[in-house]
Amino acid sequence: MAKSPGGEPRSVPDPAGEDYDEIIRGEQARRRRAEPAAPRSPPGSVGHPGFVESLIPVWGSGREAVADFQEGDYPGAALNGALAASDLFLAESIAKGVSKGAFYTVKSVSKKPYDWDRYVRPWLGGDRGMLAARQHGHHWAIPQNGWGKRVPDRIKNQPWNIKPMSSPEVHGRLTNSYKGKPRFNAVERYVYGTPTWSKVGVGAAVGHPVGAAKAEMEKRP
Amino acid sequence: MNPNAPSFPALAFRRDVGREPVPGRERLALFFNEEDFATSTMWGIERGERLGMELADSDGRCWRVLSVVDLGVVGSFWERVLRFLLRQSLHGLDQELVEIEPLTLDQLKARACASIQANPDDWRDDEAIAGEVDPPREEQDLLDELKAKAMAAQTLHQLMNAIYEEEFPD
Repeated sequence: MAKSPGGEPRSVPDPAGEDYDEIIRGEQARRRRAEPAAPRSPPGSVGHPGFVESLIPVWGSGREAVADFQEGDYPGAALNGALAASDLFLAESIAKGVSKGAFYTVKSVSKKPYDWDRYVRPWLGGDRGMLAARQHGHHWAIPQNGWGKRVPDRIKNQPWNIKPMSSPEVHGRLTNSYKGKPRFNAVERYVYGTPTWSKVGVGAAVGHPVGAAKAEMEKRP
Repeated sequence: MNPNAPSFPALAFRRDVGREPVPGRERLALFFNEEDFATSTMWGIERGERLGMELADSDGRCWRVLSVVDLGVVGSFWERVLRFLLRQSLHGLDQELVEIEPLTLDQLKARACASIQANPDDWRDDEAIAGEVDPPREEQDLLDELKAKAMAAQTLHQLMNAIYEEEFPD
């Protein structure tokens, strides 16, 4: 027998009441299924960050790591902890680079003031202290030659684009065979030919969105 | 023009005050004009790279720097800000110079070549040695080519052009 919204029997005949109640119950069940479950953070956990919060360097991955640890997800905590540490390393690298002089700016009125082996290279080995005596510097992102010739010197001959090399042989094998030794494979070129801060930066650039997406997925029932 | 001051451009031989300085080793420097000569970075001032420096000027006269006084940061406001942020502030210098016995062109060329040979880091084309485009070059061959260009110069301006790839008129 159909009942009123308050649960009391209706005082008047209501032939459609049962059908109506059935429709209402079905609709309520459908809404319950459609609504996302509330974050399931157990008591004592700091809780997982949201998608946007996960993208914040150090904070997002740090909070995720703490939450994972408190919930016993140790592999997740380790991964997010590593991501937070990489953010800190990247920030430190940038701060160090800026404090030493992030960009070379000209002093003289030379015809080619950003020339690599007349002006910029001596500065990198002197004032800037980036290259040791006899140490090679490799243009890792924008090459000196090839397509890099179309890039102005003032952009490519800068500290951010120079990777100090451990030896001329390593430098040579990044782009070609060198004195009978073969060119490095793609993995070796990446390992030897890019600065640490760029590798960490790539890791952070990939890790944060992945971590944020993972956090979103874990919120779903 | 002040007869008691060098004319520019001028080629200079200064002390080696790099990260791993070698006593007695000279480094080359090129000064384009008076303003260029009258400024330096703090790094150079702190290490005294101008003290004792000898200049060969465009009039064939030679000078030695006896003393250097730091006059503080120079430049327009925004240039100072930019250079401060880039850690390359320029300081004005008050330098006391004394004219010394002039050097012949041959003496200048020999001294410049000795400096080039002693400071390969200042002239290295890393990518040429690594063979990025053409077969790898030997560093000494590149230095020898540069020195040969220097030795072929008939005037001081040609010598500066050969070493620094500039275009000073004869």
